[in-house]
Amino acid sequence: MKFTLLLQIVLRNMLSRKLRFVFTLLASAIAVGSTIFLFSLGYGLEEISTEQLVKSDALLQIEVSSTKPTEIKLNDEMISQIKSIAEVSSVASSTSLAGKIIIDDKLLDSPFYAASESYYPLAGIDLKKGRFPAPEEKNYLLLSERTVSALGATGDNILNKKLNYKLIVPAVLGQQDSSDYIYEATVIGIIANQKSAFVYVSGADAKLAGAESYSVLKVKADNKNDIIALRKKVENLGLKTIYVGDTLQEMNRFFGYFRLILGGFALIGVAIALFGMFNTLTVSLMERIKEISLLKILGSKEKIIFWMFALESLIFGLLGFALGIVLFLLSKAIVLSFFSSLASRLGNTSINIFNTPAFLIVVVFSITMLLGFLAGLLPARRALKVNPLDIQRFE
Amino acid sequence: MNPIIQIKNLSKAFDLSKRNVPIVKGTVVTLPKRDIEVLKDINLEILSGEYLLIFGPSGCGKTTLLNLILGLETPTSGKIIVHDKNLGKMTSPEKSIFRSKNFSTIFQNSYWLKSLNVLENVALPLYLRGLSKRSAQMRAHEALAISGMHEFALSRPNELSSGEQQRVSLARAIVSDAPIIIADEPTGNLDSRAGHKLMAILDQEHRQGKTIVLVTHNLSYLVHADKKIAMEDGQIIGRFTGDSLPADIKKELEEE
Repeated sequence: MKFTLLLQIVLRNMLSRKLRFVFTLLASAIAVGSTIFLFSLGYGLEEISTEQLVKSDALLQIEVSSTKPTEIKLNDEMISQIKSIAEVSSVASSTSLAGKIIIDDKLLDSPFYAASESYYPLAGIDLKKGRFPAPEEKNYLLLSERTVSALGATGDNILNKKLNYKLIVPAVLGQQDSSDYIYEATVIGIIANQKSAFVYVSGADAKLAGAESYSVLKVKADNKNDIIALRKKVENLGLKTIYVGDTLQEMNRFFGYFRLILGGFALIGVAIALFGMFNTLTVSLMERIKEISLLKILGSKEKIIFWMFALESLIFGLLGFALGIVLFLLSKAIVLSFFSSLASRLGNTSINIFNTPAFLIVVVFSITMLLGFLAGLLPARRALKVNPLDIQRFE
Repeated sequence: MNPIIQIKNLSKAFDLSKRNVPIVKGTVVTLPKRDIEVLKDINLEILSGEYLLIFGPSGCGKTTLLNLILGLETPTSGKIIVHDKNLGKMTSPEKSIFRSKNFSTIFQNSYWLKSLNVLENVALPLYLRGLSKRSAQMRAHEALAISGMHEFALSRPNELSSGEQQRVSLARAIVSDAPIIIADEPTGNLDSRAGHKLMAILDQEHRQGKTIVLVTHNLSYLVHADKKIAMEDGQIIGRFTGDSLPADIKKELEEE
C-alpha cells in the first residue's frame, strides 16, 4: 500500500473519534508544553542569576578585605605587596564613605564610594548614560539612577552638571576632620541602578578627605586556573577573600537540583500523556479487531497493519509536539505580560525569565517522537497477532 | 483441466480442553483433553474454472473447510495444494500474500474499514497490492458497475441495506481479478430477490473463467454449480453433478 494512502486511512480513523482524538492530543500537547515551559523557566532563571557573573570579569577576580581592619590595613603598601604576587594581573580599590550632596539649598545623604578607575569594569558596573572616568581623571561623579531621582532630577539634565558634596571618612579608614570640606565635581555618568542611592567619586577624593586605607580591593588574575593559588597567597597576608566562583558553584548545584525537580514534574506529565496515548491505541485496536482481520483476509502485508498503529502514535507525537509548542508560547506570553505589567507598576524594566535553548527543543522533540512510537509499539504488535478468523468470532 | 485446488486426506480437530471442567483428584488438577474432529479425511479436487457448491447442515464443517482452503486455519493432518503450492509449508505472512493473489472472499456478513467509503473499500484489495489510488479506484468503479452498485460509490457501506452491502462485498471480491472466489453463505442474510441477483453476478464471473467455491444452505442454488458436494458430520457424504439431489443424499439430509 502506498504511504500516502496509508496515512489518509490512519488520519481518517483518528478523526472518526473526534473527542478521543482531541483529548489524547491535548494530553500530549500539555506534557510537551509544560516540559518546555518548566525547563525554559529553569534555564531563564539560571541565566539571569549567572549573567552578571559571566558578563563581568568576576570569574577572573577575587574580592579582598581585611579580617582585622584596625590592625591589617588595605593601604598602598598592601596593594604593592599584592601586586608583587606572580598570578596578579591588576588591583583595583574602593573605599566606602558617607557623604552629602549639596544641590541648590538641599542636602542629600548618600553612601559614597571612592574608586580607582580600573574598579568599574571589574565590579561589572553598567552605565545608563554618560561615560566612565578616563585614567587619572579627578573631580567626577557617577550617580545611581535612584540618586538622580532622589535629587529630583533626570539623567539628561543632571549629566555634565557640576555638583558640590561633602565626604565623611569612617574612623577605621583614617581621619574624620575633613567633613567640612566641600568638593566640586562634574556628573559624567548615570549608573543603571534604580534600587539603591549611591555615588562613585574619584579615589583621590578619599585620600583628600583623609582616608588612609581602602575598604575593599578587587584583585584580577591572569588566568582562571590561578585563582586558587592567588587566594592562598593573599590570605597568607592576613586578608579575607571572596570568590564568586564559589557562589556560581553553589548556584549550579542549586539549579542542578531545580532541573531535577522540574524534570520530575515533566516526567509525570509525560507519563500521563504516554498512558493516554497507549490507552487510546489499545481501545482503537479492540474496536478494530474486525478491520484488522479483514485486512489479513484480503492479504495485507504485516508491515501495513503494524504501521497503521505505529503511524497513529507517531502522528499523536508530532501533532502533540506542535500543539505543545503553541501552548508553551501562549503561556510564556501570558506570564511575561504579567511580569511586564508588574514591573512597570513598580517602576522597573521588564526582564525575560525564559530561556529556551535550541537543544531543549530538539531533545523534547526526539523524546516525544520516541515515546509516541513506543506507545504505539505494543498495540501494533498485538494487531499483528490478531487471528483473521476473529472476523467471524466477534459477531 | 488441471486441478487448481487439491485437498488430500484433510482432517481438522479443535482442542476444546480449555472449555472443559477441570478434574480435581486430591491436590492435582487436570484438564481432560477433548478434541472435536470437525473434518475427517476429506479428499477433493477442484478444477480450474469449476463452480463447486458445498452444502450440508449447520456444524457439518463447511466453513472450516473454506477457512482451511484460504489458509486461515491449519489442518490437523493432510494437505491443501493450491496452484501447486502446499499451504502447509507457508508462513502466516506468506499465506497472506498468496491469498491476496489467488483468492477473493465473500462472507455471510459484510465487513468494512469504516473510515473508507464504498469505492475505497472496494479498491482496498488493490491498495494492499500497491496499486496507485487512481488505477485502483478506476477498477473499483468497474467492479461496482458490474455489481450494480456504482451509484453508491461515495456512500458509507454501513448506510446501505444488507443486500446492497453484499453486492458491494461481491464487487470487492471481483475487483482484484483473483482466479478463485470463495463465498461462504453470501446470500444467507438476503431475501430471495437480492440473493438471486448476487448469484447471477457469480454466474457471470464463472462464465469469465473464475473458479467458484460456494457454501450455501439454499438448495435452490444447486442449479448454478458444475459440481456439488454434500457434507455431514465432517465428511463428504456425496458428490454429484446433476441439478437435483440424488435420492440417497436427500434421504440422509431429511433424516438429519
